[in-house]
Amino acid sequence: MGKSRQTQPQPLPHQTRGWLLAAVALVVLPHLPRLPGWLAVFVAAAALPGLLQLQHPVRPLPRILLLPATIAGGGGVLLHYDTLLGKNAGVALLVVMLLLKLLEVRSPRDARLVVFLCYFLVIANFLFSQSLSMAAYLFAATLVITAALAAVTAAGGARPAGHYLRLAAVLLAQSAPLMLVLFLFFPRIEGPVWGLPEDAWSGMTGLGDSMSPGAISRLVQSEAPAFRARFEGRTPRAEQRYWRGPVLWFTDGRTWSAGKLELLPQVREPGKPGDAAAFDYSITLEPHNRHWLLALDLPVRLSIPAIHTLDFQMLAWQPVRRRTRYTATSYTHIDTGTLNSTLRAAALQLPDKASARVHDLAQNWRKSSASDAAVVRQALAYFNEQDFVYTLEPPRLGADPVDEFLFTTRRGFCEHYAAAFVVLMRSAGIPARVVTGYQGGEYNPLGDYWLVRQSDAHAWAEVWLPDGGWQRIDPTAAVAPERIQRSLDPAGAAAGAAAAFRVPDSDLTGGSLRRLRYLLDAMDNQWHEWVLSYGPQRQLEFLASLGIDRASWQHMALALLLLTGMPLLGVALWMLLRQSAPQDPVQRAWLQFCRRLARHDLARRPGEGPRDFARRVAAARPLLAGRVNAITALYIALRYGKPASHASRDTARLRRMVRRFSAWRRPGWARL
Amino acid sequence: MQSLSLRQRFSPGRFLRGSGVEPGPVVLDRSRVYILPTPAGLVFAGMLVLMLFGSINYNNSMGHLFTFLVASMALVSILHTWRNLAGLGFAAGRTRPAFAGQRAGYELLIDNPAALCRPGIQLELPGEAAVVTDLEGRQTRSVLLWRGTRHRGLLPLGRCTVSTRYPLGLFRAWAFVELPLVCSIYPRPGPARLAPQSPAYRPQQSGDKGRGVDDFVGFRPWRPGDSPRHVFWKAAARDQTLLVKQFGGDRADEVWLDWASLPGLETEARLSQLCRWIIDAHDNHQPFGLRLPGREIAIGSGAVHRQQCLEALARFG
Repeated sequence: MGKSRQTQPQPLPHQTRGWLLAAVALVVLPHLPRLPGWLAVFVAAAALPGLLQLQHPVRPLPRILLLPATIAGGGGVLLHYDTLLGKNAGVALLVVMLLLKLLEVRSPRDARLVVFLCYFLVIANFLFSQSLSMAAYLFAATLVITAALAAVTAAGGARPAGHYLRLAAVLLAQSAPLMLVLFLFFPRIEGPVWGLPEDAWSGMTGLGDSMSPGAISRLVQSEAPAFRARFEGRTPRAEQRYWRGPVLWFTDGRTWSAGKLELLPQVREPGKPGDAAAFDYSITLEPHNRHWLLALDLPVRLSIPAIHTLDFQMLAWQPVRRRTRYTATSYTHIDTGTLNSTLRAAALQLPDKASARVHDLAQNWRKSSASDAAVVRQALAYFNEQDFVYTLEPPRLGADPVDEFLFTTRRGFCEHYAAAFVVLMRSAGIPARVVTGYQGGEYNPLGDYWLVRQSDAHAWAEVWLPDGGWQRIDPTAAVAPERIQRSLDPAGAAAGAAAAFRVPDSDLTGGSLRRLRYLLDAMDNQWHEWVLSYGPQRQLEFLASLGIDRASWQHMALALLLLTGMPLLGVALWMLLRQSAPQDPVQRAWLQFCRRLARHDLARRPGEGPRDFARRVAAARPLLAGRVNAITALYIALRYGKPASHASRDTARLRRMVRRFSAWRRPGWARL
Repeated sequence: MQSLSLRQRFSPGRFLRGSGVEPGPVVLDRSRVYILPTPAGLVFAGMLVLMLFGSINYNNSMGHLFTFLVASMALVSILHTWRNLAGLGFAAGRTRPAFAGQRAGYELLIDNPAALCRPGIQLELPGEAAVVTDLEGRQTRSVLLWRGTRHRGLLPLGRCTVSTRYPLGLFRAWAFVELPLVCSIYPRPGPARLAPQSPAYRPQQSGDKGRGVDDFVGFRPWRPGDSPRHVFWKAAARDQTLLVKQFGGDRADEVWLDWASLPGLETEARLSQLCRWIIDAHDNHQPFGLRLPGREIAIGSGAVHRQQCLEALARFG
């Protein structure tokens, strides 16, 4: 009998509980920062009895407690998110259910459900982050979950933990080729197929469609990438690297917005190239759930369909909700020519309750200057010479932010300077507008691209001058010229203090760290490029590159069947080879001999030695006695005798004899 | 090992019933092992579909990748499940005879010719709880299967289902093994009843005519004056008749248990009665012989003799 056992419902062994706990811990961990605080406490509270159950057979959570706990958990999620749908509430609910189930596991069936929920939580994680590091982490978690599933299946016949981990690793390794085939060839459908919950696209950062004091200084706290740009040929200098985003015309004194929307969807005439040569580049834009397609100031061509507006914005038809790649052409300067009356009126709009002090200041400049350009110079000199401070954490501003900023606080971030400058220009009768976007970027030599982060977000101004049209003026540069040369360091910001900038790392200290950062970002970029961006469009391109054009569904299905069959067949062959290979040739010949005799009702009995077997066969079939005895004697000598120098020759002889034994045909054989 | 003919190989009945009793050791080759998803496997498939829909709806590339990884793993696990069973050899071992109504035991020898271990091999007889065993690499293990019995006779092992869900429990591979293993089922022992007097009790010339205190000879009805110490109280409680144990003296008495001494009873009742007498005689160290129509087992004693006699009852008719 040995270790064989009757199958009866039995409590899960401790080892299996350990596996479940490890799997649950690994999948819940990355969700923790997103979960509401009370749920995190709940997780910790659930972990404790879970750990206790490892040591002592604690009874599972009684059913009478389970229902109130489930209602409390679900109700908590509902109260916190106002819904049970959507990815945030869904994940929270899933975590609650998973933990309660974990405490209530009684049978292998329950345990299996816990494992399945774990797989689900892994995939839920990808709705929030698809980065390479997260993928690697979740792959490791999948290994443990799969090992847990194997441990649950083998419940009762426990094996060392290494066995299950090895098994899971073998399974994952063997399924990798098949996964690749499915990933490349499984017909992709453009989603969403049906409605998505409201929070489907939450959690994306980027420029807003309006700007109020503090909007951009909040955004620059984020180190998340905004986009990556790679230049073909020439690279613009630092003071040319302005990346154009939303253009804001209308102000209520505090907030700037695009204003009258009928301004926007006009088709801009292609601008005349200025004296500067064009820049050609490609951009990989991170999703930000808005329409803007960021481009170098001033863009004239884009490779993907977009609305080109009169104020040089590029707008996608749909909000950018996935990584988007496009090439573009820009000129650093374009003469935009005359300004029609509608636009001039919009570019001179001032809030109803404009501050008299601001108006007087602008009018003073107007009176003392000969031209618009001179007014602009005076304004910039004002910012430069007065005690203005460029800071990430400016003081809060009251009802009239521009007035307060110009005359009282004098501490502000780029949006304060841009807004104040445009208000001053409009007060002086010069058409002006606010432009938001990014400025600068960090060059990654390993990937040969510029990484522009949210922390590079910026706001500047444009004024219309009679000679040359719209001109970019950056009042921030007048206060803090370093901003244009270097990136901002949000970590160095202190309340009210001047903003800190990224200092080039000295080669001794930060050099290798920086290289590591470049490497990680370059890898992440490749990951996006080759894995994450593979969708319906890329699949069509890929198939076309294989010579499959306009593949029909039937063809795709057939090809998929063949392609999935091949890796599976490969694994099967590998298994068969490994299983049959290592057997002693002597033993193999002997077994073959026994099989041949078994076909004629002379099966070797279990436990019957070769000598006894030969004697029995000889007694039953005297005609065969000579051959059977010779084969048996040789087999015994080879298998149990002393190793001899002529062993290989004898082995060959044994095999030959066995072969001939089977080939021996005589009419009498049938009767034997 | 018996290889299957083409017709046998592709007959649909084999899928449901197996291929019948085979004489030699049975080796589970490719054509014998079937595989289908378990209920858990179907739930898993449903989960995969949900994951795929979610990935499509959110246009999530990693979601696709992960769904395909898990799906591939499930597909590859089919091969592992199949391999866990394929190649196992089954041979018949001994049987453990039983009285009708008890459980009969059948020993199976399972041989794992490969170097791989094979966990979670499940053996199941229809209507019985399954037995699970693990086989290490190149190991032969004996497994005892129990089967409930009802009637006297020879009970073949019947179709044994060998199955496994290893490694992930998403698929179940199974094969039918029908080995020529037959267990003897002895009759259900009848009530304690007076052993036949005249033909079975053969006084010897030197004997003391059945009086003495040393050896148990048999039963006789109670007569006034008998010592209460000699009353067979067990039977009294069961049958409401008072029997007295008779003891003999210094001579070894021999008893013939005869089919013909039980007229008027059905065949099975007769066999049950004989069975009871054999057990009692053996328990009392009484040498006995057995006479059945067409068969006579000479007087003897001991476990082998007892088994031989019971076997004769099992095979009667």
